[in-house]
Amino acid sequence: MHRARVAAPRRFGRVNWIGVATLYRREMKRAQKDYIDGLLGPALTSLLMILIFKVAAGSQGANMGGLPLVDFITPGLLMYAAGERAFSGACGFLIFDKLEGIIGDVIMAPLTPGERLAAYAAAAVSAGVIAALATAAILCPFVDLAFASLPALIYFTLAGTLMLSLLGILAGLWAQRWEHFAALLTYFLVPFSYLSGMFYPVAGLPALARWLIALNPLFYIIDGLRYGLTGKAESDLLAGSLVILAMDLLLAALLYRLFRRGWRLKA
Amino acid sequence: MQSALCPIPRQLGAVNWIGLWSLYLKEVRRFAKVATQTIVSPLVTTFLYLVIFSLALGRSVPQLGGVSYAEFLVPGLIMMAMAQNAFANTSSSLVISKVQGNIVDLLMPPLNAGELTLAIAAGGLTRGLAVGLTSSVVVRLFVPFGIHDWFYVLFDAAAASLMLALLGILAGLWAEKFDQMAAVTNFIITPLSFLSGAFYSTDRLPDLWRHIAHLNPFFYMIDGFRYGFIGHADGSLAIGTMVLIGADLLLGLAAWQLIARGYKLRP
Repeated sequence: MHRARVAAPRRFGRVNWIGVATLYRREMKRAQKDYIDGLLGPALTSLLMILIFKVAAGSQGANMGGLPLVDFITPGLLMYAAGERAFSGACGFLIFDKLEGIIGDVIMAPLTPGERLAAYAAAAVSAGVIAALATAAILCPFVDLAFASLPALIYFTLAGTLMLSLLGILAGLWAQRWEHFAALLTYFLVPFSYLSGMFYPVAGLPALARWLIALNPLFYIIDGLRYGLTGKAESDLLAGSLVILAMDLLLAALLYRLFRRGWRLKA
Repeated sequence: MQSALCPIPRQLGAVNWIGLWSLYLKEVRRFAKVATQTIVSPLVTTFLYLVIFSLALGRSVPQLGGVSYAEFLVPGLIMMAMAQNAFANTSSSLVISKVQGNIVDLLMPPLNAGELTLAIAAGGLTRGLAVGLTSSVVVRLFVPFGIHDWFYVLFDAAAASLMLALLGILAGLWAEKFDQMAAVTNFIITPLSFLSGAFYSTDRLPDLWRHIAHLNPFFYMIDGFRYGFIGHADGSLAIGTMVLIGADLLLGLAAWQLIARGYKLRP
């Protein structure tokens, strides 16, 4: 008498590392498919912004918050490159998977909600950091990038890109059509990024505008990154880093619950 | 004896007016249906640029061409929005049709190459003008501006929108994938429009760069359009008018010829 051959269920430890790494690799590979347009395009646009500002400001408008104009706006451009890439990647791939019906591949895989979230977020952060590095490489002949504080630079880049990645995942879960994606970029991501003190010192703004910008978490990210690059900041860095940390934790907790419930993922 | 009931072929005159009008309406309805993406979204972008540049540079650049920096900026921004949207309308229409395979809907009807070119270009022109009109009306609430010369406002708006609509047709014919379209936008259209003098007076450039800037056809459309508003031009208005008319004729001819040959349209 022979036993029926039943495939023994795969055993995982506490964390399915292979699964997390596989999902991470898949998300990274699809981000790599359009490196030419996806990295070079935004980097070129950042470079154009710098040239425009330089010419438009002329010789007299060189000073912003105690910094040369170009040094002042570069951190914002780098953060925008990272954030845009992280947000639109995370959001766009989720929408694509949902519309094509291949989201089941992720839901069926033996991954816990936390593992899924970690893999998606890590891939988006990596893609964002790569975009920022590509932009920095293109800008560096034109900008003097002094690394004033490496810990601040690393912390604000990673925590900031993570925030945009988590927002992108949230947006991707919520969105159900490509129109939603376009609307999210035009009416949410771009205004929030551009109105964050990326291009001008907040000190000179009217009180109401200053107050509104203080509510924008991107302001703290860009300001922290600016401190990391130039050694000058407009806000309290400790408060800023706590705000970003709190945002990251809050978003991660929310997304964990949403993934566990299968919000807009499972029928 | 019964004669076979044979449909009589429709008689068309020299121009198939009904067909031309139908295709034009289709092109217009295509963007009007998603007006939040095609009309409101450029408005938001224009507005953001206006806020950023006047906040960042408003104080250090008090006067340009005899007006405040914001007033100098407005015509350039409106023209940029018109140009980019005229281009996006025709190029996306063709690429989407090719990718989805419904391009035959253009090739099968009794429309000749000239009629196709005209109807599609007119759709792009209409989108450009619609964006320009909406942006002007809304921006005027925040930055009051007068009109110095209606002829240049209307002529440059129409000639430039047409030029970009025709360029969009060429790009749409050439591109086979969305990535290629994004590359044209990122590496040709955005740099040409950013470096056209929308944000600064080309008088500020060193001699060599000023000559190069004056070789950019986009410079003339913004310069002429701005002259219509503020009564000051950086370059020669006569040359600008001729460049625009010449470019429109040349591009129109090229688009017509390519469509007539079925370039990348027919197998």
